[in-house]
Amino acid sequence: MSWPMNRREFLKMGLGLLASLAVPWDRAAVTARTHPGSQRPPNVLILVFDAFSALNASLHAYPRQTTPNLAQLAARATGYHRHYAAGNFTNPGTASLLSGTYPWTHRTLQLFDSVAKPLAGNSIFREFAAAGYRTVAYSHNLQALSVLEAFRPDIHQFIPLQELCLLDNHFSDLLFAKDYNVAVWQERLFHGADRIHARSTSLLLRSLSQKIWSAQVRSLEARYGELFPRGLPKMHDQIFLLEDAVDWLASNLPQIPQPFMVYFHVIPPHGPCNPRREFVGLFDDSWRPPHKPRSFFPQGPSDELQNYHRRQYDEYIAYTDAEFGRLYRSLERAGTLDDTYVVVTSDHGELFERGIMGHFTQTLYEPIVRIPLLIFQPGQSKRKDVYAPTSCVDVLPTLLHAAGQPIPDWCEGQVLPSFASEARLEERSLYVVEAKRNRKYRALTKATVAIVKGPYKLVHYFGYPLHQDAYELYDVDNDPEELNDLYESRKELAQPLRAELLSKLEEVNRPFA
Amino acid sequence: MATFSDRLPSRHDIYLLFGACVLPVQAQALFSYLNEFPSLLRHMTVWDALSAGAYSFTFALFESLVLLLALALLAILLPARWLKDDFASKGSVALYALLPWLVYSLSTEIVSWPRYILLSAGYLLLLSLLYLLLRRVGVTAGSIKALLERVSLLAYLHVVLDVFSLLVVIVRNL
Ligand SMILES: [Zn+2]
Repeated sequence: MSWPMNRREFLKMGLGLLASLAVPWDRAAVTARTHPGSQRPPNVLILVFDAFSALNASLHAYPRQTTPNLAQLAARATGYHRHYAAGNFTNPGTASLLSGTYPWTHRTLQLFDSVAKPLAGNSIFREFAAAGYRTVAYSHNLQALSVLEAFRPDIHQFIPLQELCLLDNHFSDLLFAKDYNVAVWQERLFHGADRIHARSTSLLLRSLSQKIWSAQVRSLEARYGELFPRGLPKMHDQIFLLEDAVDWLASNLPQIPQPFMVYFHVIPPHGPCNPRREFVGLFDDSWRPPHKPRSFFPQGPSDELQNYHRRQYDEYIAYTDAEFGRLYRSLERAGTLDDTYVVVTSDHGELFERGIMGHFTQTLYEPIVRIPLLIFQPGQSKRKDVYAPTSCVDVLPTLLHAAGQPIPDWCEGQVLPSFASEARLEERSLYVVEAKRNRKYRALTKATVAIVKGPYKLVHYFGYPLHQDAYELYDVDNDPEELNDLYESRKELAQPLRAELLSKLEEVNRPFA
Repeated sequence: MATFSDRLPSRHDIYLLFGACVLPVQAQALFSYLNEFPSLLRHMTVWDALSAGAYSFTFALFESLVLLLALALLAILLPARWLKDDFASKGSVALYALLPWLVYSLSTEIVSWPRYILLSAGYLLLLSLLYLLLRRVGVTAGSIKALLERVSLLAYLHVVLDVFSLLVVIVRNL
């Protein structure tokens, strides 16, 4: 079938799905489909939507209706309302999700970074492969690709990046697969590591390849311009359609030998936010988020500019949500969900406040570290909501537990509430680590680390030229927008958290002292 | 009848011109790589950071070969007296004269063609004036060749580094 034909079908299907939201859900049909209870362990599908902030999801009470599909489908899932990424950008966030350990353990601290080589065996892929699962992985995102490359020996089916791209300029994964994590840096240098100044290691070839690339992009955008008026979904030098990834999963998942553990990492809603036509302008409304004070590390954009980009981001979330809805219903029709756990989550969030846009920042405010987590259990017919703080390091032990597998002792997470055989309601501490300015194999001396405990989040900035030793404390339950820093006024709350965080830092820094 | 090998420039000229091709390409690779080296060390072992350089130098070798092949192709296609005879000196002059224009043309988005053509014509005029000036001060093919002989040692030190880099890349991907 030709492409334009497919796109029209997507459009029709997307509109159909939107319309279907108005129709009451056939709950009887769903509850009748129970887990078959066969001897075969359940399949696992982990879907990561990159840079998806829970705070911009109507599923979590965001005023704009960005996630009608997730909100509706959550009726059959366990939803975690205070779920934290372990880092504030792709590499640490993804590595923590896949290894069940914090960045200070797996040492994925930088852009294009991956886990420390001796720890490459500590992954969800190794554990599920050892349990007889077929492991499959795909990533649109080059940063996540760096993380996945370290785990590659335990991934039975590694879907090439190019397979789900309309256009791709990346060559290291094809030419230098065995040394990808070093070769990718040469490619980054080839393209000009800092794209703004673009000082390439190549005198002419890079410019020549850019010329060819631009011509190809122009031709593609002319072809898809009507459907994607703001440009095609892209990141780095990859241009893709989320629809293709969804189609791939819908048609290939039922064919994968079972039991399977599939990890699929797609770019949307990570910017540039180029949704399909019907989502452009969806939130041209008068709603404005509250004004917030500038952060320690402002990047400059005005509130007006931040709100403009936030609106585009919200539209992109709505597009992503619609595509997830399409995938879910397709897998449901195929019967795949009868024996498959589906995990919907992200690697980190996104910020449009305090003079920061995106997620390249040293801060750990809620929108950048709070991510969605929905777990659809086979046969689940009742919604469950968990409001206790949880972390992405908990996903690995939870899925192993669900598959009846032992949890490795190196894992720093716990089985999530509602999955553990006995409810674990005691308060525990979670951490978020941002250390992209710290050397990989050195003690953390220049970083931002947050400890989350109960309703509180204490953030510690240290080693930065202007912020050698700074703290912020928020009561996230009662002040979800983090407007009141309690660090100075509530010393009795701050001190124990501070002591615990410093002691933890001392512990994790000990091997690098 | 002239055979294909008759159309090829002399081996020594090819050797000298390759050295001339290597220098600017290598300088760009080396400068940009060294600029990024400290940031590579933030998340890589020293050996891995050096290996990232090996990839860059392998690409520089490839890029230098592409330049040489392009010039050799021109020498084969054009009348011998234009480029094939005195291939090293004519080729290197053509290379260094056209390089700024090539870098500009490839790295800039050409929005206005008339402006671009005007700029190119101006550059050509500048080159012609430079050529006349060089003739007047007595720069000849022979003197350019003598200069190339002198810098070839430096250029081939880089070629040795590039070949070693290629070996490193091969070993790392075995
Ligand atoms: Zn990401």
